[in-house]
Amino acid sequence: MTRTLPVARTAATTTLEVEDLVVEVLTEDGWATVVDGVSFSLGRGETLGIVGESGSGKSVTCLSIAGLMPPRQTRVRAGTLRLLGQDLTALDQRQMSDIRGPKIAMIFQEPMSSLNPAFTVGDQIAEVLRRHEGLSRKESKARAIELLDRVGVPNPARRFGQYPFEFSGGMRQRVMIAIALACTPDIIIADEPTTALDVTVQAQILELLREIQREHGMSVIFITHDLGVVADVCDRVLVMYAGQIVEGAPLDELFEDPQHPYMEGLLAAMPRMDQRTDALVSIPGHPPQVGAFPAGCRFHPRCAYVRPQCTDGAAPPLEQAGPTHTTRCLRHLELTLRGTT
Amino acid sequence: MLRFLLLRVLTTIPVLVLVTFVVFGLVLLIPGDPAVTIAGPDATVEQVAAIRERLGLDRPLLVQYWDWVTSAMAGDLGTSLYTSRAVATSIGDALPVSMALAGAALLISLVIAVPMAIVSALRRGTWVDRVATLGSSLGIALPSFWLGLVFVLIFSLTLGWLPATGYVPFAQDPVAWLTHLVLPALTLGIAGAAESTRQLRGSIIGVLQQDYVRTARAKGLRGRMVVGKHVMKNASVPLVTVLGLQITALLGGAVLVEQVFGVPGLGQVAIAAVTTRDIPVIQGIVLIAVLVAVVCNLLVDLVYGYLNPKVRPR
Ligand SMILES: Nc1ncnc2c1ncn2[C@@H]1O[C@H](COP(=O)(O)OP(=O)(O)OP(=O)(O)O)[C@@H](O)[C@H]1O
Ligand code: SF4
Ligand SMILES: [Mg+2]
Repeated sequence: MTRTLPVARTAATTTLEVEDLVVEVLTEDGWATVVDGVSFSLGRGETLGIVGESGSGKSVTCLSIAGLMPPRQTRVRAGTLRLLGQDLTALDQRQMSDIRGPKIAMIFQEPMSSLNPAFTVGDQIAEVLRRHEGLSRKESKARAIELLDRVGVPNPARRFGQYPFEFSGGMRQRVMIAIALACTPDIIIADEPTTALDVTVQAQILELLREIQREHGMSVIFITHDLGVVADVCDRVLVMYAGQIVEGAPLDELFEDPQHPYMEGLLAAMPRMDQRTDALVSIPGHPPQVGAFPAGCRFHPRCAYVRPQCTDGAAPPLEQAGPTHTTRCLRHLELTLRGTT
Repeated sequence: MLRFLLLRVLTTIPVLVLVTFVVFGLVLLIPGDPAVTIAGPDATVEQVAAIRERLGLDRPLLVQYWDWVTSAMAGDLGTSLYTSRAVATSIGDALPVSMALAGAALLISLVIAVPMAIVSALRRGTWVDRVATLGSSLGIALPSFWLGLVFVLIFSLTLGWLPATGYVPFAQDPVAWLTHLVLPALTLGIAGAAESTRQLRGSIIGVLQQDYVRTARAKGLRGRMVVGKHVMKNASVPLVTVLGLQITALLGGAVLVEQVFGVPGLGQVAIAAVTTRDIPVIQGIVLIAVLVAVVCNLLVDLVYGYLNPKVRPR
């Protein structure tokens, strides 16, 4: 396996290091690889975006980091996960549960279904504090109300005792953020946190996430389909395709000077403010099914620049295309790809 | 909450009125003249007429109905045509027995069903789950009287641990009360446990796939908390429906098991009354059964309100 040549960083500024992560899921035809040799590191205070089409392995990567993939149907086949120097792969379920909350917290896409309908939102925030910080009922309630206030829920004391169905989608996502924020984690993983929300609410939630990150200096992994959102919030971006990272670069560099044809395609498909988007460009074809990844470059069936050398053998290695830029394209040196300007 | 309760009780009134009509009316549809039946085959026409008059069977229907309802509300359910005992007394003797039996059976079924459902849902597809599923299929399929006979054979006749039949009131001897209750309660409880396990296992599996369970785990809650709190509160909703039906069925429908174990519960009273067309007793029992069903429904609704805040009145 190849790995990202890590951007030079001292241990003190790196919160998470993922190396050669391989995750498999059980299908009818046996174990199939869905995340294949993913490596990256996350700096303190950094917001790292992960983009890619549906099924590329973004969620599986992040759920595996948090130890939340369902056992028995899925397994982490290989890889090391180091959180603040601690090897997560050596931990058992119980020890992992101590990590989740105070060190890694998650925000999910579906604000409608991610809160338990049978408990008050207040209790769902307060229980995190009782679990990890040993607070009493009274103390945890006071803190939960503060948190509700912090994430912009009006009337926090009254809202504390209400149930999720009494909240709008945006308000529920604020509650999810309050839950994630409760123990001021080192890393927040946000898996498409705004996809299900309408545009104005989406902007408010993004602003809230940015504020919180600035306040606490935490690291954020931000998964999304939406390059517009990426441009808004991320410092650095990883592009995933068929279980692999195919490109990684700081935000501006990636957008202005993409080094992989897949990223060029994503950028071309991005709806823009300054042009009429009636003729929506999109990458022809579909991403491959799990268990049926093409030989050679996994993107080759859809690539406009494909050459015979792309179509067989092992997947191309992830190569350095600049000091902080990596790509998994064999032809990146000869190609000049279009970015945004 | 109080308003909700009051409202719920008020809405049951039309149901109760309808039921009293039906209970009262059903009996009139039964072929055969109770006066003739009571008087016996050798009675003269005059004797039959006298009995009919004594029972009020010759008066207009609505008057009969009104009399019956008002005295029932005063606790007077009439007199048995055969034993000449007050119906209220017979039922009053049998009801606590049936309630003890039903309560014990329900307890046993929950003690079996809840852990079994949780384990087999969490270990879905493993041998534990298969054994539990097979067990509950058997429990549902096996007729309870047969199960009862097998238990008697094993625990009373062979091992001699427990009495085979009979019943001792709690006030008389609590230990004997318990030992007499165990086998019939176990017999009834197993059928209930099988049904509840199946229901609960299914709903736990459904709830485990919900996003909020993933959220609970993402918060770092321990497995026990995730399942015991977040999963169970949601997964219990269908179980409560099943339990409500089971209580109702246990109180009125434990006929065969009561017969097998000689437990003097409502079922026994019902059998005796039906075979002799003892109308006032039948009416009393049906009325009680309906009241029990109504109360159970009320309880089920209250528990629903607790489990699912969305249906709670505000
Ligand atoms: N528990 C599971 N069991 C079996 N297959 C799974 C499981 N979880 C994910 N997969 C499969 O792994 C692949 C990657 O899924 P993943 O959820 O990571 O995609 P994604 O990039 O997050 O896509 P999306 O944008 O749709 O969220 C998919 O093909 C998915 O079907
Ligand atoms: S390796 Fe070949 S097929 Fe793959 S992206 Fe580059 S040019 Fe296209
Ligand atoms: Mg996903």
